[in-house]
Amino acid sequence: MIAIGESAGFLFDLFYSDAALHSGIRIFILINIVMLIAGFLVYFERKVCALIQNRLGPNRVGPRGLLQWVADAIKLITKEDIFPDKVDRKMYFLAPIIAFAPGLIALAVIPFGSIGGDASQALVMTHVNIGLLFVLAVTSISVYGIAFGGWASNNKFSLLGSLRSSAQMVSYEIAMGLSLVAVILVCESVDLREVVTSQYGTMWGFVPNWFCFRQPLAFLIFFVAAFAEGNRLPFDLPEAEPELVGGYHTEYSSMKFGMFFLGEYAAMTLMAAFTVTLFFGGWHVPFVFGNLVQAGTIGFALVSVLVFAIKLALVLFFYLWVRWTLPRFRYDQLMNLGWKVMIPLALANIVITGAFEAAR
Amino acid sequence: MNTTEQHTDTHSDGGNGHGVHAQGDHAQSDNGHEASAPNLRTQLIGDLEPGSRKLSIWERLYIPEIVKGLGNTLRHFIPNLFSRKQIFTSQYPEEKRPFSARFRGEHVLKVDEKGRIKCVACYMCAAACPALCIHIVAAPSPEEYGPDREKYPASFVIDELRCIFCGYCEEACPEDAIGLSTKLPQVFNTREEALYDRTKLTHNGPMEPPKFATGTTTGKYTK
Repeated sequence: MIAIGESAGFLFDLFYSDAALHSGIRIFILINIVMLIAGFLVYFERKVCALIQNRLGPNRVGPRGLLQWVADAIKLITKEDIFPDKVDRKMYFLAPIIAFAPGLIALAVIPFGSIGGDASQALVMTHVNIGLLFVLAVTSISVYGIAFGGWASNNKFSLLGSLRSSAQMVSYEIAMGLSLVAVILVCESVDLREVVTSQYGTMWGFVPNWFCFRQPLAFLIFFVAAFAEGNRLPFDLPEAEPELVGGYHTEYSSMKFGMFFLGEYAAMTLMAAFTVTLFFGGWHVPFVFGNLVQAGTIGFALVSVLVFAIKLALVLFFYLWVRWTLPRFRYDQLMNLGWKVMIPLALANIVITGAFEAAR
Repeated sequence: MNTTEQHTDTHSDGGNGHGVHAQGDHAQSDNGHEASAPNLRTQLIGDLEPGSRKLSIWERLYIPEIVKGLGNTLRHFIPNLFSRKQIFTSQYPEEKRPFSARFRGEHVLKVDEKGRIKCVACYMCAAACPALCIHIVAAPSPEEYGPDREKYPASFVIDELRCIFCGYCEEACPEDAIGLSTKLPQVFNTREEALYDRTKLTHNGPMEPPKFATGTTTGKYTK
């Protein structure tokens, strides 16, 4: 039994060594945790949806239906894997993988805890000092998965869905990137670990120094763009069931569909974790942080990971909550919002923030 | 002035066919609300033409309205987390839906107190049946039925797959011999199974509404 107050030296070994064994363990942990979160999100999505609509939701498989996602997964895996006639077989096979992988890859650079308080002691799967850019770059790859899937399916609905998707993701990536420029200007780093540590402390003694309070406009733009990036309602036009029968994954079956499906939830997890890191202070708790347990101990690491997990869960709940509240945008409304509202606002925010930073 | 008249003309062509509208603005003072009343569609659902209603700045901001919507869904979500009062799911195999007392299920051929089949093979039900699913073969009634009965159905077959459960047979029957029970129509594996003969029909489902019809047991099942 490891005592809470014990020094967390073994965590240093695990997270700060390049040995193949340690890297392997880190990869194993990451993949399993992401898959677990994605699986449970499917369940929570159905449950939250049901409760909002005055229904019960899944409650047969396992206690309170908690194992529903296992049943779903078994069903998906055992279904027939269909290659429809005249599909582009290579691209058709590749698309779900490309759509699924970025969520996993980009999560590797998100710091989810800290052994001490410092940026150099953060718990991250991979230490990259351009984490913020890395996440933006990798998430834009997932659009290829959707575009390939729609193109290779040899189906007009899929093609329309993937066309919409590429247009939507390209437009909203601009707004997202621009909104983050303001954040980078303030914290003077693109290292996600330093982004978190620059949010320590409070403003005027009572407001946490988180970027959602220091950069509210950037936060709003980023959050809306994050919804659009993840193809979540109210921006799920690529799927748009009533119009497009499911969009880019209409022709997919079995686990290939499952990978699109899980990829959506992995991307959602990534975006939520990214949001927590950038705007909600990552593993940081205002006021009590550092007083509860001594820095550098296992207890400290546990608390910081727990704090991150709670914040992540709340943001993920917000994602589900919004999905079951708002209707889908019309395509022209989506484009108007992206190009005529969010991008100008983000640019204005950069100018204002830049002026403030220059004056300081 | 010319433009106004043109405008009102097109308006009248566009829809409600009242001649009064064509007279335009002058008619309003003469004919009061008759001329100025909007058409029924506008009255009921408002003018849905895009851009017909200017949104206020507050509404165009969009965020306050989203927050309102989120509050609305949260008002359902939070109470439902803790209580099942609002939830109207019925857990089907354990909880059955309450039926109306007049529910029309599968047919029953009734039997009188002497054990005789009530049907006198008059063919009224077969004639009334819009789906033509009742097939009767009449015969002189057997000895044990006594002197007060002349005919009885030697064969009485109802094709439950053809039946549309309209209840006309029940209404047409002069002897109150056929009725629709409260038993749900069954699932069949073959078409032959759906042909209910005389013995099957006399022993078919209950006529009373089922016990669970009173009150609701919604939400009791939690697993």
